[in-house]
Amino acid sequence: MMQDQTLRIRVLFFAIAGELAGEGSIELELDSPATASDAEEKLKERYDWLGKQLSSYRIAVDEEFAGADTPVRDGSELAIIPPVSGG
Amino acid sequence: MADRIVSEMIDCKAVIDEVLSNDSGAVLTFAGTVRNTNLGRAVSAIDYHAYESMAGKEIEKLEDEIAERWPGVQARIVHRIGRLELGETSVFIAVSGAHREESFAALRHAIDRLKEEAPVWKREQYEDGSEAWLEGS
Repeated sequence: MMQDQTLRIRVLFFAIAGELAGEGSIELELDSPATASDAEEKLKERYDWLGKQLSSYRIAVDEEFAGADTPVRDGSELAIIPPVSGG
Repeated sequence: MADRIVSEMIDCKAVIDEVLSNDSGAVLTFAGTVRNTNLGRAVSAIDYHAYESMAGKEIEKLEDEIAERWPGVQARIVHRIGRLELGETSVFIAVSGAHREESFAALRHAIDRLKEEAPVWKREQYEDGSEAWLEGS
């Protein structure tokens, strides 16, 4: 029989995202299998600023910029990357 | 090989030494420095934050991409994080190549792509005591 599987990831909030979240990182549980897009939807349920006050951002999974279909695995590190301003 | 993200003053000479070789006929450098105004506001300092591990990887990728696109050209890029005072160097890039033409092109590409891709953010401190995250600039 298939078992319900939950995967746990760490979500990092940088710069303005950290200010809006009120913390730099959280643990997030997702149903397995999951993609970056699944994680993003779950984060939007929890944070009303995501996609609104912070309208433009990119997502990284395990230190690489991710697409919607990029898989996230148990123990993955997902980051919310606001528009960068280095240099 | 030196770290790409550092929290101390950048050792510019060491960055240049990493790209020097007898094959090079041109060595170019770029220093990004903290300016006293931005968007009409008086800036007193900038606090740079980074997703350090990823920023280091993005910089290495950019260096590799440059070596591939301009064969014989070598680039080294170092970004400083933490609080920087006016006039301090936030990013330093050294490029070497056989000739100046491809070296200038590679240097331009390096700073432009760095500013688009590296997960680094400025938190500007203003003369009036306020501060703000900069996005996409």
